[in-house]
Formats: sequence, structure tokens, C-alpha cells
Amino acid sequence: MPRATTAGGSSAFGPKSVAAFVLGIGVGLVLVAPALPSTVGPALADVVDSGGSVILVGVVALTVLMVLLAVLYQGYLRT
Amino acid sequence: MTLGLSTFVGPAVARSLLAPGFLAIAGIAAVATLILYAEHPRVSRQVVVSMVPWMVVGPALALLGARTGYPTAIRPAVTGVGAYVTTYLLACLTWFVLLQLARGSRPSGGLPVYLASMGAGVATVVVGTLLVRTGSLSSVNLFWLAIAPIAAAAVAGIVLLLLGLWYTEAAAYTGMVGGLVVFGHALAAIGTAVAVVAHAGQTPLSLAVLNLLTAVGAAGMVGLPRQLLWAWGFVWIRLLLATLAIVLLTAYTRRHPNRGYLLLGFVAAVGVVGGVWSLLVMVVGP
Repeated sequence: MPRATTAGGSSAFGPKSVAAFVLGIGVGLVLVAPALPSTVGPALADVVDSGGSVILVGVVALTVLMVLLAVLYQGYLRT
Repeated sequence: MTLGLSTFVGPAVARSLLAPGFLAIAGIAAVATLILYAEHPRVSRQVVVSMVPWMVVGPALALLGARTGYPTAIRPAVTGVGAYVTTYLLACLTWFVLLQLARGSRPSGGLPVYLASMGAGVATVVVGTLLVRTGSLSSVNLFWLAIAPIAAAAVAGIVLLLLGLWYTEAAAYTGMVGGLVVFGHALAAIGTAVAVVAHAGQTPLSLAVLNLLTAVGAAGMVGLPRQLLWAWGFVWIRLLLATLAIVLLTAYTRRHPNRGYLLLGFVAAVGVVGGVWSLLVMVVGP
């Protein structure tokens, strides 16, 4: 399967950019950690109880949109 | 009467600006700026565009900090202006580390990608936590979060097309940064207008259509409600100002690319941050 590449021929999602994203998630978790204590679990459970499937479709659609944007965005940044 | 900080920014903001936690983070951010400045990093169009995810982090963190129980000691660093300074500091540190990692290697085109990737990771966590913690994770809210940037991109596309027709050089030279300036202010204008109209109790579209029909059918254009006129006026005035900024800064950017792109980036950030703030406030509630 052909990989998403940029004009320069390099991979749009190289291991380094994925690593940077994961590192960003780590930094984000540190940033929000004080706001989290034992509330995320119940909050997510509430979400699933109240029409979770509809929300799941929304989340998946938004994720697909974000991935598409990310491919275009990274392609531009590498030019 | 004595003039103090509270005279200019109000007592609440003045208190937060003078809090030890905020002063500490602002001091560290100032030092980080100086260190980064000493590195003389090249500010390209790609670097400015790679800051977009970080522009999303600021308002999301400010709202998260205001709505959740952060410890008192670090609260000033994650609420109000402090949240933006913290985000700025994180972006500066990331940029600095990436510059050090790129040192000695061939001129790296990867820096903006890694800067953007890391910002996207932080933004994902902070926005996600805000939505979950405030119980705002509904399909309607996700719809607004998805549709507003698309609408802003469409509006920005039209404005950029017109800019390209009249000021071809400005549109061509500023490229994606110019596009980001227009997009940011389109997002801010649409976000604010939608938030104002939505708080009136109707969906924006239904209210707009209703108002338009009433105005055209009964009283003509002069009969348009003040709120709708304000919303449209606000959108077009912001777009006009953004376009004006691009045209005026093009010559300066050509002479001093680093400073010019930084200035354009700042103008874009004002728009993007304002737009994200409006959208998130609409979603999580005022």
C-alpha cells in the first residue's frame, strides 16, 4: 500500500513526528493531571450511558477529519 | 486618586497578574524568550503555521483551569492570562529543544513538523479533558467544533481569492501565513457571532433565516435586527482588518522576514485564539 508522502517524497507521518505527538500527549497529561483526580472515569461512564453510540460516531468522524487535515498540514510543513 | 494596575485592567485581572504564581511563570517565560532570541532561530512561514496547535492549547487551558480544581499554588499559571503565558513557555521550550537537536545536522525541514506534532498532542489532551470534565462531549457540540473551522476556511478562501485579485503580491508573498491570518479572524468572527446568536435561544441558522425572511419580507434591509446586523458587521470588519494587516505588513516582511512573519503570526494568533475561545465557551458554557 502506498504511504502518504509529501512533495519531497518523505513520509508525512515519520516515526519522529509520531514520537513528537506522543511526547506532546505526555506533556498535555502532565498539564491537566491536577484537574483529573478520579473524575474522568465517572464522566466517561456518564457519556456512554447517555447516547454514547451517537457521540462515538461524532468522535470517529471528527478523528477522520483531523487525520485528513494532519496529512495535508504535515505535507505543507515539510515543503 | 492613585493610578494602579487595577485602574487599567480591573481589580480581578490585576490581582491575577500580581499573584506570585503568575509572576514566576511570566519571569520564566521572559527568560525563555531571551534564550530563544539568542539562538536567532529562522522564522519561516512553516514555523508560524506550526504554532497553530499551540494557539488552541492556550484558550482550552484557560477554560480548563477556570472550571476545575487546580491547586491554589499553580492556579494563576493555568487560568486567565497565566494559561496563555504557560502555553507560550511550553512552545518556546519545545522550539528551543528542537533547535538544539537540529544543530549540526543538515538544514532540517522537520522542525516545524515536530513543533506542530507536539503541539497537537498537547492540544488533544487539553481540549479532550476540558470536554470530558465539563460534560460537554455531545454530538451537537462536536458538530459545532467541526463545522465552525470548515465555515471559517470557506470564508477565508473567498477573502484570499479577492486579496489575490487586488493585491497579488501580498497574497503570494505571505502565502499560508496570510491564509492563517484571514482564517484565524474568520474563525474568531464566526465563533463570536454564532455564540452571541446562539445564546439568544435559537440555533444560529434558524435565527438567521427567520430574521432574514422577516426583514426582507416585512421591513426590507433596514428592518434587519440589530443582533444580526452586528454579527455580520463583526464578521466583515474582522476580515477587513485581517486583510489590511496582510497588505500593510507585506513590504515589512519582505525587508525583515523573521520579524515580519513573527508579526503576522501574532496577528494570526489573536484571531485563532479568539476563535477557539469563543467556540469552546459556546460548547462548555459561559
